[in-house]
Amino acid sequence: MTTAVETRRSRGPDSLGRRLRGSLPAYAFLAPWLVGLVGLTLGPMLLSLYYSFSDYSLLSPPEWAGLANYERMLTDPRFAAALRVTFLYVALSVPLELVFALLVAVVLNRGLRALPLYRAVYYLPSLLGGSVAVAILWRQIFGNGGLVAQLLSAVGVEVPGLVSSPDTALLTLVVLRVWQFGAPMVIFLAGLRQIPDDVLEAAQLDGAGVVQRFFRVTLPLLTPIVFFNLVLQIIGAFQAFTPAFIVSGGTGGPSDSTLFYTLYLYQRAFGNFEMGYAAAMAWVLLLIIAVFTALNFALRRFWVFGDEAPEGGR
Amino acid sequence: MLDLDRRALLKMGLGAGALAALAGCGGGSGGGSGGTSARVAWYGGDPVHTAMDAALAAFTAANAGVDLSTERAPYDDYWDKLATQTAGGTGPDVFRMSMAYFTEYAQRGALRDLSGAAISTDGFDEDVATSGQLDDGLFGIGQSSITHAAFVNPAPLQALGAQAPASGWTWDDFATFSRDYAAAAGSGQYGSDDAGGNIQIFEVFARQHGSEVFGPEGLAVGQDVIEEWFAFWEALRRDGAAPPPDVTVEAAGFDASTLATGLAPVQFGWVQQITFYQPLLPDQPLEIVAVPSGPDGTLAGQFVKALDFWCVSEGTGSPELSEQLVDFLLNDETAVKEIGVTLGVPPSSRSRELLGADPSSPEGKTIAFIEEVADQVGPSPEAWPQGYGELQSTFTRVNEDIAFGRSDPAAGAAFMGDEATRVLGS
Repeated sequence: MTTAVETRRSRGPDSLGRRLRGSLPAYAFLAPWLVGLVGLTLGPMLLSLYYSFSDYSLLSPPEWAGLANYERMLTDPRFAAALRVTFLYVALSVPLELVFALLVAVVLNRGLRALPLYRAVYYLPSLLGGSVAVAILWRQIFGNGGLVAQLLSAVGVEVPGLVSSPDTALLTLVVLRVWQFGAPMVIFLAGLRQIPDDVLEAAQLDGAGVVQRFFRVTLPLLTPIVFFNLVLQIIGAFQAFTPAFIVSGGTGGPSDSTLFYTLYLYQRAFGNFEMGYAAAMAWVLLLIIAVFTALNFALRRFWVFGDEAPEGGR
Repeated sequence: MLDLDRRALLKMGLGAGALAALAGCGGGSGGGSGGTSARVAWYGGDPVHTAMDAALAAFTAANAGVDLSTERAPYDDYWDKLATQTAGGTGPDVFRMSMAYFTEYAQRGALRDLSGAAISTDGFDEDVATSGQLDDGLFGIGQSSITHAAFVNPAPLQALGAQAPASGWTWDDFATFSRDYAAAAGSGQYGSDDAGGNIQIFEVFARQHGSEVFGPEGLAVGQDVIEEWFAFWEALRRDGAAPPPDVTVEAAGFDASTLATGLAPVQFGWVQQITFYQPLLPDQPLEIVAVPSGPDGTLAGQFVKALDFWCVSEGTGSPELSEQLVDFLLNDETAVKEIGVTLGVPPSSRSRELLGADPSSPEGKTIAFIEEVADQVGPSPEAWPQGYGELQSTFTRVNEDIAFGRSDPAAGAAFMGDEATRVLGS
């Protein structure tokens, strides 16, 4: 591994100059990425941090406003609504999506003949999820007189448009996310492939059934992958924007029931020219995501295989 | 291995950070281009794009050595782009501007004062010629005359033997019409779209109650009038005479409107929109009538005004060319003919005659309606205030909350008042 190589080379009394000269080519090769990092990521991030403390309309130069933007979040009812919607969305969609992705991965891993085909087919929704076509599709399925309404109507249950009622609109977006289970599924599949057959065989010889083998052998060995997917999906779900934007036509409606955090941020920034407030919101979201990610890492020792027993499995 | 380490965490953190970076992007350099080239930008649908391309081609043909480039977008997307470009000093030289954002841009110094410009407004409807006037300058030239309208589809009315409404009908007449029609046409049919969340139709209602919606001090209309309006529509929805909120939510845009999908025979809007609705109902010629009147039966609540402008960027590098182009688009015979009514009704009677539109075509009906109501409508309100765009969507949301039972007319009106104070006060 790279770390091993680095430690070996840096052993011994190198002068600073020689060390610099030695790494010059490395930095030269890194330069394009560094330019991108500084110019496109770090620079704008620092600017955005500055804007978050200012009153900035995008059309006229920013004016220092201290903590005003952050204070405003405390009393902004739509900010509270956006937080509520986003947390609910993360809490519902991430577990459902992961369970579903794992289920499909387990089924696909049972040695289907056309595996690459199925893998591609199930991955497809992940690529389509952000497209405008999905907005139309979702209305056809969950809208007034849509597919779901017709099916329910056939069994005598009359429902309003699910995508256009504030009580159910968010649920249709959760379904949309679960439907895009392709990315975590592919990662689960790769993880399942790494589980050694001999362990499973040993369990089988000891008399473990299918269910036991899954819960006692496969799942524990898969926890690092579950952890990886969990961290990624939580971050992704907090940042979700496109589904709500296209399905609600950019409003976050009906009645703010799909007002994702990022959508509200976007409305403030580009709809109302409140770049300062939007920048402050972006930093608060970054903080929220950082806290959740740190929590995830802190908690992993309690359930992720290999962290509590370094010798295990691999 | 798929194990995670600090480096992976850092990468993820940066991914999340990119979002924070989003709000910080912008910048860029450069202003207008040299003296013989200009960028022109507008919003609209396909008919607008075709018309504008033809008009600009005529300008280039008549002015050798001039180089025009164009940018076009649907209404909603247009503003994101224009705001970003303007912030970076790379805005277009000549661009279409809506009344909803006009004051915002003008007061922030993004628009050029056209007071002394060689742009002729001779023969323009008076309100249009002065629509772009603010206290400290003339920041845009109205490109069309428009007024509020109710579009009526007579076909389903005839099928039921119902009387088609006519200009001069009152809100009471409208309510009776809607209830009768919904009852006769059966479940899933409504008298009109739900205009309860449309602050622009509410503007007519407010004026009928003796007050503009906005005044110099913020909200001018009384909260009781707002409450009465929300309650009026809530009653219609309860009786099934106006569509329930989940239908309204799905009826956004011209294509999905209750008029186009055959759920309601009446649709409120701006007069030139008949040219957008008519192609969606090719076999059912639409008619235009006035928005319902107050008890006096006059059209004083409505007004004829320019709500779209041609503006020139303050930082343009080709001010003379830009002004010449605006003049051309408004007054040149070829341009007027190419543009037709795609931007609204041309703002002078000379231009309207020039079009010679067939009176039975949607274009002809639009022009005829403007000319019919021009001397019956009330005086124009002042330019909409900065923050109008936000209050417009708040109004829609409040109506939606009431319709979904999450608020009531009194609370909604009070909330509207608070929001107006917050938005207009800042």
